[in-house]
Amino acid sequence: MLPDETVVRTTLSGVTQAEVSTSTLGVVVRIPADDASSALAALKASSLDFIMLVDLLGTDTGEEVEITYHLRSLTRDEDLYVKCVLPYEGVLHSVWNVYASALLPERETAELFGLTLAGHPNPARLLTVDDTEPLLRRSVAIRTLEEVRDR
Amino acid sequence: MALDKLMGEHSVAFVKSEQLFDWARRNSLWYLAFGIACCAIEGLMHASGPRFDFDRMGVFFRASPRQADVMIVAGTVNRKMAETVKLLYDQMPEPKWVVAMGACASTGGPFREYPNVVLGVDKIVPVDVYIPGCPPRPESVQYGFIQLQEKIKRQSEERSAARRNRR
Repeated sequence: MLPDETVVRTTLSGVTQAEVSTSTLGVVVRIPADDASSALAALKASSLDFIMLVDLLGTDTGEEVEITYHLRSLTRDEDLYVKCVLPYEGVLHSVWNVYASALLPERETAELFGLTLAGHPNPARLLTVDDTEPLLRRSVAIRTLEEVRDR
Repeated sequence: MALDKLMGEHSVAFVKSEQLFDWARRNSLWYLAFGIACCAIEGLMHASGPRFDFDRMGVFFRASPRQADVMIVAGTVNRKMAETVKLLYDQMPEPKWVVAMGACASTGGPFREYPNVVLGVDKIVPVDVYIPGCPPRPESVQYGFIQLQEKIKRQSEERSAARRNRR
């Protein structure tokens, strides 16, 4: 179910440069990365009742890293996608004060896209060992056929 | 196989101690209950279950590497898991054997192109038996264990042959 765009817009009136649009994904809100924490807190406290962070995703668009916060309202059965962009080697500010379920996916996203975590209680790597390159960046090549054959 | 059934009661058997030990070892291959991925369901859980029942050939799981003889590496080994695999192998007492179960543990399998995946567990620990399949059926694992038993049997024969040749 799609949440009401106007209500989302009113809720985020405190956040400048917040763009609300509807795409095939659903209702998408684009916000500056610095406002992520306050915007999510406003959405959680609003009448839309987005009490759950389903997932935190990262995407390498080719120019920057796009972070997607997937929110869900269990009482209203509505989903909202909050997106912000970070430069490569940028700083990902933790939103765990708003949604505690962000703790693990933030660590994963930070290590796999080469971001630095800020405001996180345990900003250690989750899935990889130290000195692993950011594996989900487009610039990191997968193994070639020759490398696999000569294993 | 009970010795008294084979040779009759009150019989006396003369056997080299190392051959006796190897006979005992290959009939009590206790594996380490350590599964990484989907292969563990077929190779470790199904193996100890009632349908395939590896117990009857002395193959049973142990929860501690200190009590295990065999490590079945069942699943994709990535670079972080490789440290754990090596640690568990080092914690197992000698003599110890390793079975690389499935395509992932043997060569990297369908994930071989991903830079974080180790291309076969033989890059980390020495492997005795490779079992192909994705995942292999428990029958394949059973056959792999029979091959491992044959290998242990051959090892004691090879040791005594080497000693004979030295003399």
